[in-house]
Amino acid sequence: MKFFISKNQFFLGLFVVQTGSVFISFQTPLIEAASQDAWIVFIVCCVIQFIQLYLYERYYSYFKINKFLQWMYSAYWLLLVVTFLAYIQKSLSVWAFPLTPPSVIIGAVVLLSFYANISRPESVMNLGVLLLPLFPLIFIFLSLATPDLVWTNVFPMGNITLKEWGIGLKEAKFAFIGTELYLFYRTFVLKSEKIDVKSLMKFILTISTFYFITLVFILMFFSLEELKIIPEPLVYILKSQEVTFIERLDLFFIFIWMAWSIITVVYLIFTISMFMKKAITKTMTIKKVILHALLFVLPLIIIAQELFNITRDLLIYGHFLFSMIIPLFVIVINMWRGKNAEKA
Amino acid sequence: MKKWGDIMESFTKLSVYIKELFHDSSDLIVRQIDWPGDEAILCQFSSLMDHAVINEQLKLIQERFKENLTNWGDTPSSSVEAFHPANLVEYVCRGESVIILVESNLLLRINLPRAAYRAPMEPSSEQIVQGPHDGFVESLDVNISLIRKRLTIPNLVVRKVIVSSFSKSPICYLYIESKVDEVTLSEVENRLRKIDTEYLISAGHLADFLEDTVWSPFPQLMTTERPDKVVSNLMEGKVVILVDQSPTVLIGPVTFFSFYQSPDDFNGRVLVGSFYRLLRIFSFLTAIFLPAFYIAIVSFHFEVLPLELSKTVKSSVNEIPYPPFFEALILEITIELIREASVRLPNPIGQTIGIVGGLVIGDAIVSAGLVSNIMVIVVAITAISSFVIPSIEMNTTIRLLRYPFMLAASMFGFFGIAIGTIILFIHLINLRSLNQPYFYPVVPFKPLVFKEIFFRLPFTKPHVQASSFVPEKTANESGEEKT
Repeated sequence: MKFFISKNQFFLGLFVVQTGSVFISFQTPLIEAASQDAWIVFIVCCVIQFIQLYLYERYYSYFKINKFLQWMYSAYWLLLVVTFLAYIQKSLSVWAFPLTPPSVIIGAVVLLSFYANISRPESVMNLGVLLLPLFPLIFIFLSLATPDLVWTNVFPMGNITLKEWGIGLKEAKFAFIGTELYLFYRTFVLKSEKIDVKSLMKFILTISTFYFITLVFILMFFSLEELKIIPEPLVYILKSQEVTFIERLDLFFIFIWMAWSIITVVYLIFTISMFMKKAITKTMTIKKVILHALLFVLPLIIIAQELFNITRDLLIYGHFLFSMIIPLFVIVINMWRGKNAEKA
Repeated sequence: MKKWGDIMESFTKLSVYIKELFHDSSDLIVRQIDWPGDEAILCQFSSLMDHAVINEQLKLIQERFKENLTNWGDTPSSSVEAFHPANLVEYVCRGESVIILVESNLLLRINLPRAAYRAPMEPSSEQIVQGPHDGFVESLDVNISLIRKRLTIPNLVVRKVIVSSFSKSPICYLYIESKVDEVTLSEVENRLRKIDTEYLISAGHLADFLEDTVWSPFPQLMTTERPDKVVSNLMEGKVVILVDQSPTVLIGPVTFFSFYQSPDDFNGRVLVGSFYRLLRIFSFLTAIFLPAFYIAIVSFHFEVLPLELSKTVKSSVNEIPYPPFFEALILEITIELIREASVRLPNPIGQTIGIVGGLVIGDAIVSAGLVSNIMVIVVAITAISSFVIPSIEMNTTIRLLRYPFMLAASMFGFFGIAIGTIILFIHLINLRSLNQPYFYPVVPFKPLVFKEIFFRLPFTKPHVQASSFVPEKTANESGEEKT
């Protein structure tokens, strides 16, 4: 597939994929694991993430995978998309449509994704632009909760054990799920646009600040005991706000989040389609139809069998495997082979 | 085919032959006229010429002939060439008067056709408050002259092509040599070359052949009847296409946002122009989303409304015997009927229809309990918002688009609106106008250009004026597709 993207489109795509579905949900498990120190753990995680991106940028040219690994990555992303879809459905049924059958919601999202994926590649790559006017809206909504924040909630600091640090880091890393797409889309960035440390720093600061604000808001708004019973605390904060002109701010927010998640899903399906184009010989449209049929059925199975927590856990470990271990392994092997070839 | 030598033997034979060529049409004149030293036959359509003017011109040419001038037939409105029946048919059909000199086998063309044109009045669909009030008419030459008088430069190039195989309708495309993007120009030429049709009657007809996606509801070429608008677009490096016998001109490539600019923005003051442009762009949102938003709230998300407002809306809606979607549909279709009726009727009656439809039916329909008064307010605001858009085509597009959104909202509430919005966005990203991105500067994303789109900036800074198309920003310059 031949297309080129600018540096801004590349980073916007990464931002959307990583924040997509998780930005309303990663905070609770992280705070459960690291208590008041969750924000410190998150900062450390951001530093690790920056180092990871730096290494990606330095060695991405060595990241060339065979068909088996392509299938592995496709399966991982499929699981990611299916879990996201199940989560979108679950959240919408809690906050907006308690009586609507899951198949209707998932069917609509899958149809939309199909339409996007039969469009030109550049259309998919530009979808993230739709979200840009929504960022300020989120912060305006959130800022309404500022008077209710209790800043002492973030204290005392430094009380967590080494084990809690480990679990906390694992949960914080979930916020950066999908980061391995850097290695795949980096080759599509225009040669004329250079990505240096400054660009990486800007990107990591943007995404970290975005997450950090939401995390600190939640830490300051709720006590630790309250958080144990609230799965999407960010939405709950908005639900509790009283505005004269709108009674339920959270409903608007949930649909903003939904649009965000759908675009994430579209990006991921587009990535899977790119691999399928290389791996399967049938026509592309048939492949996309089959893929979307799967995307319709699998989330319904997850919802019906209540497998959501299992797939989420799988994704966390999958994230470590596919964004750290496999890239490290592939890059080292290819570098070694490259050196051997030079010697020969 | 008859033998040419036989036909040219006598006036009678030639006259019969010419009449056969034109199926003995009643307005065809085939007449022998005096010519020094030769036998001459005048051939013309009486409906397309002015006898006095032709006589005057003929007298002048005959005097030049008698004076033995080398190029006796060549004047600004006449020329001489070898006779050929195919040429004869073409020229006569165009309204020229043709004189066949039988013995010398020559054809003298007098190109002084007469056709009825109206005065270049301001187009009723694109009226402005300040600025020039002339508009295009149904003549290619008059239209070109309206452009040329504004752009007195040699760089303004006019190219003429005949695209229809049967009706031979001439089309002209104009551009400024130093400004136009070569890629776009060759794209236009290429598309014009590929047109395969028997006849071409209007700019809308031609637009079908030139647009990138015919099935899209969005116009991908701008149409206008205003010469000042054409000139400003030519200055931006765009290509303008004129169709003979049509006052509507096509402009391309364009972007979505260029349909929201009006000449009034630039004729008025900076702040005023900016305010009204912002208002127009905001009207896009209300025109599409307002009825859908209301339907979603009433059908699914009543809890969004504050308690006091919720009571008012609920008491108003409770009286209505059917779902809000049908309620909105009844009103929207009524408004469309009123609009359509007022367009077809003469102006004074059209206004009456507007009053009867808007006030009398509106009031009666609420009193009868067929629709709620809040729905009347919503639909009225929506209608006004759609009429704010300066382009009549974008206006109709927006009016059409609100129906699927209303349907989506009635089925899925806000979820349906969100899904519809993403689909609309994907569609806009997909669209191209003469192979240029239609949704620029959103895609490709150029944040710095946004201020030029949303605000009318001062002319003292010419480079910050909104330009819907900038040649140097072409996507395919290096053979790579930058998205």
